[in-house]
Amino acid sequence: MQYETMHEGSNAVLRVNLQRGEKFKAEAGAMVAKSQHLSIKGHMWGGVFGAFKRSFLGGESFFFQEITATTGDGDIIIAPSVPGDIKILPMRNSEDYYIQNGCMLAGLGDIEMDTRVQKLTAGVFSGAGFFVLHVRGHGEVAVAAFGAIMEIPIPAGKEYIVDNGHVVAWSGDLEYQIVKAGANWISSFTSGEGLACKFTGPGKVWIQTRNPKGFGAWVRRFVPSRG
Amino acid sequence: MSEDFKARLFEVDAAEAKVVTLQLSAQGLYIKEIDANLNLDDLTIEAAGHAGDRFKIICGKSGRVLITHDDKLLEQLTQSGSTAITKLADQAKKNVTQRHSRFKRYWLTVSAISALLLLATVLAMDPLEGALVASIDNKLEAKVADFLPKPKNEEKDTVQSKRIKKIGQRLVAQLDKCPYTFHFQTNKDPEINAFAFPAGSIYVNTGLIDAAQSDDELAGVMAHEIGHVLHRDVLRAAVRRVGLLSFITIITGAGAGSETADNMANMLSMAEGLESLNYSRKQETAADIEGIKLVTLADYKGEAFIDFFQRLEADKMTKDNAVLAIISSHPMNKERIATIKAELEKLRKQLPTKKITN
Repeated sequence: MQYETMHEGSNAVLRVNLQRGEKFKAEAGAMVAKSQHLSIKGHMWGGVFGAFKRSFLGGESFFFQEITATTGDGDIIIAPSVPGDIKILPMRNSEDYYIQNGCMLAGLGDIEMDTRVQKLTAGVFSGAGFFVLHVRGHGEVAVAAFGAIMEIPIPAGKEYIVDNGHVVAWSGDLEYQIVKAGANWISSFTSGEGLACKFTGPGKVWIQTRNPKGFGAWVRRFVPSRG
Repeated sequence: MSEDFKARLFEVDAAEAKVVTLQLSAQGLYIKEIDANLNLDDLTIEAAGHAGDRFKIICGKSGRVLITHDDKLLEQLTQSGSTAITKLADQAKKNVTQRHSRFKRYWLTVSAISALLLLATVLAMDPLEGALVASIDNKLEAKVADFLPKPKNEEKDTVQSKRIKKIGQRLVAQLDKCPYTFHFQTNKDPEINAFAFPAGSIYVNTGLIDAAQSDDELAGVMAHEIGHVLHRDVLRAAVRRVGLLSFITIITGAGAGSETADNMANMLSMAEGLESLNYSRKQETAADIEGIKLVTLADYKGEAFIDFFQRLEADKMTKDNAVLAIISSHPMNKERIATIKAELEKLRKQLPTKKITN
């Protein structure tokens, strides 16, 4: 299996070349185009219970799609529904990742995915909800985001603060807690930042350069109100 | 020969790890790949990771960090003979156990709160409906007004709009006590549909007006929408959509940052819910009964309501489904016809001696 991200930036797509017999899983409805030799079927990743947990608790699709090169070699192009970038997260060193709901695009390799409960404060304030996706295994995972994706390396013991609407994924080795973004509560809220996620290394965090909720609120300002 | 353990090694100031093999001996913890020996007395151990499901071994001297999921390594460290490391390894084990039980407690708390809120939403709706004053509906409409679909071409002072207002006023005049002020407007849209907002604004699409063959038919549909307002079905839908707690927060403006993106998203979600309202069969039946009462009291023909829907059902074969939206949300099945007819029968026996009130 070979894959590459194309049109990187706001219109990124993922092109995956499969040899006969190879398969991978992708978000339901992500296909843009494919070769005739590839077949697609709905797949409950992690079994019925896993799919239920992911869908009901994690806000992700109940079904993922499994794409298999059944009758020969071929390629497929997949894309997320929002305008934004795609990033491939490697898992060659037994890394595991936590992924924000809605950001998982594809699992390339032998990837296990489940839903993990967060701490109460993180669930309420992180912007990720009470449940986040947890992936581990051998291969790589593709995540999609709104806007560009930036990789932030955080060495051991170092801290980095990310606005809760911008988190896409983070290494399982990282620790994080919810903190006020400003020096005190008043400045946190008057600055418009409110609460943020403080990550402590070692590990990496991937952030999206635009906040989908913030963008939604901005767009709504220009929607004519009912007269 | 000592046992091998796998771990991820982070060098100083590195965020990228490499997988290494560790061997524990009396001399220390040996990292095969870089041929380095870490003195046990220099090490600290703590639970690590977002879920606290792994261990972090930190070398004070070199600043290197090792992360492992291997419980066996921790077990062996506790038996290594070094008092300091034994104590730290024990503490790390306890921390992991504590974190797991804390996670379980969080999970149970969240489940319990969710279950209670769900139960409160279901059980509290009827008492809540009685307790909430009608001004809540006005507030709800005002709060979500900006997010609701704007009637594309609200028509004023046209023949159609005057006709709709006249029918509406005749229907509303039958209500003895009513906390709402109804407004009847036409909306230039070919879709055969009508919709009600929580505070009593009722829009009738021009498509529906064109499809109706008499004022009796229009009155039937409009009275049905009045029924939804009187039974506060829109309010119920809003609460169901965003949850009781969020609903109260939005309506009262309570809670920090009521204008935050989250709150806006909640309002949008509520407005989306109102836009694509799907009432339960029970709510539809109640609105039918309320509507039939009003229609009969206002001296319109109650059967015209049934005839109108049955004619639309028959048009299914020839008309575009999108135009016939009202049919998919309000199918006129045998059960519904029987209920309406039974109500009509009952009303005719009561009238004109008794005026029906809400």
